[in-house]
Amino acid sequence: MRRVPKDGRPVNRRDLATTVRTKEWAMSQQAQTVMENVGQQTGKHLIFSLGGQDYGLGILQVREIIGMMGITSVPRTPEFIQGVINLRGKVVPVMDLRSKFGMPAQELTDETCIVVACLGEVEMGLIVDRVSEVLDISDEQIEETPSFGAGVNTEFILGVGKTDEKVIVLLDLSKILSDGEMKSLSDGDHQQA
Amino acid sequence: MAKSETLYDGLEDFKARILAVDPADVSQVTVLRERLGTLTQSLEPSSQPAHVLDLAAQALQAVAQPACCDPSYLLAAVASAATAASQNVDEGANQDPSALEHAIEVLGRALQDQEADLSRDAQVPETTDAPVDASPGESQWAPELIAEFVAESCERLGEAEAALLALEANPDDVEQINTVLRAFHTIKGAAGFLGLDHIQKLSHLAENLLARARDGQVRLAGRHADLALRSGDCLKEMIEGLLADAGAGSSDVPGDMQELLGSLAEADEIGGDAQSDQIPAIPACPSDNVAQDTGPECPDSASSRARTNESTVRVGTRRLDDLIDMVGELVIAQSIIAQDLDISQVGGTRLSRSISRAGKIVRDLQQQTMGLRMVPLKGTFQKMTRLVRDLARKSGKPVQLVTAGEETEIDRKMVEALNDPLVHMIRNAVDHGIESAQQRARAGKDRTGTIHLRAYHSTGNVVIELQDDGCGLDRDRIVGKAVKRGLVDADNELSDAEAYSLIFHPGLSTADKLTEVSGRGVGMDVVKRNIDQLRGHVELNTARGQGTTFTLRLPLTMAIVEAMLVRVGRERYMLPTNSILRSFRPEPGSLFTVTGRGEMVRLRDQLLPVFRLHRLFDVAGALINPEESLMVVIEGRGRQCALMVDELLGQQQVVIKSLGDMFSAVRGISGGAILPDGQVGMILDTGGIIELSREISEAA
Repeated sequence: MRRVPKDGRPVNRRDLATTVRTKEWAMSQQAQTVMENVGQQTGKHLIFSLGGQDYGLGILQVREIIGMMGITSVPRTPEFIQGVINLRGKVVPVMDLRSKFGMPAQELTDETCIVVACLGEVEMGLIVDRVSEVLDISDEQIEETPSFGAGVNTEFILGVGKTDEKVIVLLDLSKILSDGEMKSLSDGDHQQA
Repeated sequence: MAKSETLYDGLEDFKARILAVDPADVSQVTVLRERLGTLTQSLEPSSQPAHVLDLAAQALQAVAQPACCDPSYLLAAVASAATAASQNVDEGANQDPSALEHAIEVLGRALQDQEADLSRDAQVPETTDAPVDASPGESQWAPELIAEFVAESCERLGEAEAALLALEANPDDVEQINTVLRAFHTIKGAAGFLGLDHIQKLSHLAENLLARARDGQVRLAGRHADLALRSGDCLKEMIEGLLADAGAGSSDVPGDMQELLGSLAEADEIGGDAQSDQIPAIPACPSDNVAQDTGPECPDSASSRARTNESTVRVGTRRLDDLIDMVGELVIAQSIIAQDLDISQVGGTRLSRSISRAGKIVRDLQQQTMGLRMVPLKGTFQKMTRLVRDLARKSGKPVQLVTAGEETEIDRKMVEALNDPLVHMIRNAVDHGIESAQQRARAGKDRTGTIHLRAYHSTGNVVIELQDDGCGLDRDRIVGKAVKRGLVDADNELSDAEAYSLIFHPGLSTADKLTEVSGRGVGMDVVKRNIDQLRGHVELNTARGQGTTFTLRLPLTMAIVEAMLVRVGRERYMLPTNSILRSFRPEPGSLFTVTGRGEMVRLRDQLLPVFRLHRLFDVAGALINPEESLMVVIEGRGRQCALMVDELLGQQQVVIKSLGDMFSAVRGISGGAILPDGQVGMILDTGGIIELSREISEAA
């Protein structure tokens, strides 16, 4: 499965590696090695874990990985919007993927980090438990999202990638950042404490 | 003679460069072409040397084309043209025209060959790299070339318009006539080269008119001035249209162009003594929906450039903003180093001196980069001059606009946002303020009304004053209308300031009759709202029979705001200081709860609603007891309230950052800013907070 984002901006390995920066929490050694393995091919995916499950995001949609840093909360926004960070002078929103996927919150660890993803002009930080590796996932390895019945929301899932030892849930960034979700931010009908 | 000497030196220098230029380097060729343009300007328009240089510029333009087959041939022709021109300048009166004529011939042939080559190429089916559109003609040119033509022509037309307006006061100023003539001439040449027939034709006729004016055959006043101005407008419309449908290949011809061509041709034939008949109303400005974000914008502001002879570089605003972001980060990083504990422990005066020196440089750098966004108000003022002229014609009242301080600089975003309010106020001044000539004569005033438009810097603000010497505001009528509409009580004693400020109230227009010019019931309230959005203030001064002065006080830039940092629980927010009236700690017993829900606080003899920020924004750990916390009295959209916060942390200037589309609809927040510790802080929108709190307390 080769997905080339519309803007097709090539990600160059050195760029990614040099933009990794740490703050407050030191970035795990692992995340650094991951960035060094980033290749040019579009079949590559950044693999990260959330509550023990591996997820993948097309590497061209990943701008950089940064350590956890001070996040300013934005009032009157849904809970999964953690707030905004200062990314070298730019204000970038940060979403807590655990909260977005309805998982219970977890203590921050040394490995918790923010994956800055981009879709066209939109940039968004995604908080994940741990970044593990970059994997080449070919079309043949990807299966359609299995149906789990009404109880499981598969809306953000593009497909499921299978490698020898694990199953990786491939995420659809455009759905995660989709308009419908964003609109709910502005509704403001957010319960008062 | 000094002038011809510099011209000679310039031409010789140009010649040397032409011989050294690499034809494949488009930017270098473009630079040379611009130099040539500057040189041409110092020659007498329509003279033979100017004609040679014009042709040379066209040849250079052809060289810059990707499709150019034989650039060195063209360059050689240009070099010989420059030699001929410089000789001509050097020899002055006893010149030999044959060298020039020869150069013209050589250039003309070179250009013709080039065109023939091009058209032959166009017939060859295989297209190399140039994006050739399906339709021939205009779209054969690279978009950058068109964009450059548009930018340059707009600049020229802006200068021409200013000159034409100046000519109205002094129709015999040859210098100004030449400016206009040059503008039309340059556009004609470039349009001819680009194959834009309509533009070429119109500019040609306009040039003829101007040439006759220069020769004293017509006077550029009244009807002819109108014609020249309208030609400029029409050209501008067509030229800007090129950007809109770049690539589409279609060129829309404005409806009034045919008529304009007719009038121009007629003027050409009958000369200046023709009686002016009914002049059709100046066509309203057509849709200006030209996408201008990335393309070079019509640089009203840049028109000052040609005069000061400074070379400029066009930079996209996006890159500029990125630069400003980075410098902001640099300032933060520098202050973090300066305050680092490790460094202060190491001590050493040398280190601390170096750090503070670096700090100074960084702050200077920040000032400089912020200054990059500043543009002079000149372009805006020029538009207003034109507006007053047109309004005066329409309303039949003689009015003049006197401007001062047009070099005052202000953030370019502010310049755009200022346009509408100024247009509105000037319309009001002409329509309601200035009396008719008869009335003015009866009142013993000069028959011509005068509007002064001034700009200056004052205590970190830009002040714009608009003063008319008209009839002033009629207090009784304003109050009477306000009472009739139920805006104020009839038995209410209003101070003068309160009474006059009623005109800023929505839906109150004091015009007796609706005219085409203004008085549609939307009036000063729009101005007030626009100025509020720019975080500015409007003040008003009026004297019956003597006129009205509006004073707009605006921040230098929208990018920086003076804000008070407040703490609520663990969160910090910024309140723009211009919306803070005062802050106080409520005395025991000054708090009330109205009908069990709305909280009020008494401050002297004023009762203010209390809104708790921690409740509004759902912040944990904030002070609950109002008597321990602080009340900040804020104002927004015409209302006041007391906002309850834990603590004031101090006042500072912060650079405003957009939170992006995602948060654009979050109420109560107008933007973000980077705090000195590098964290993002939220800037509160006081108007939004007050509205939100009212809705919530009403719903509760």
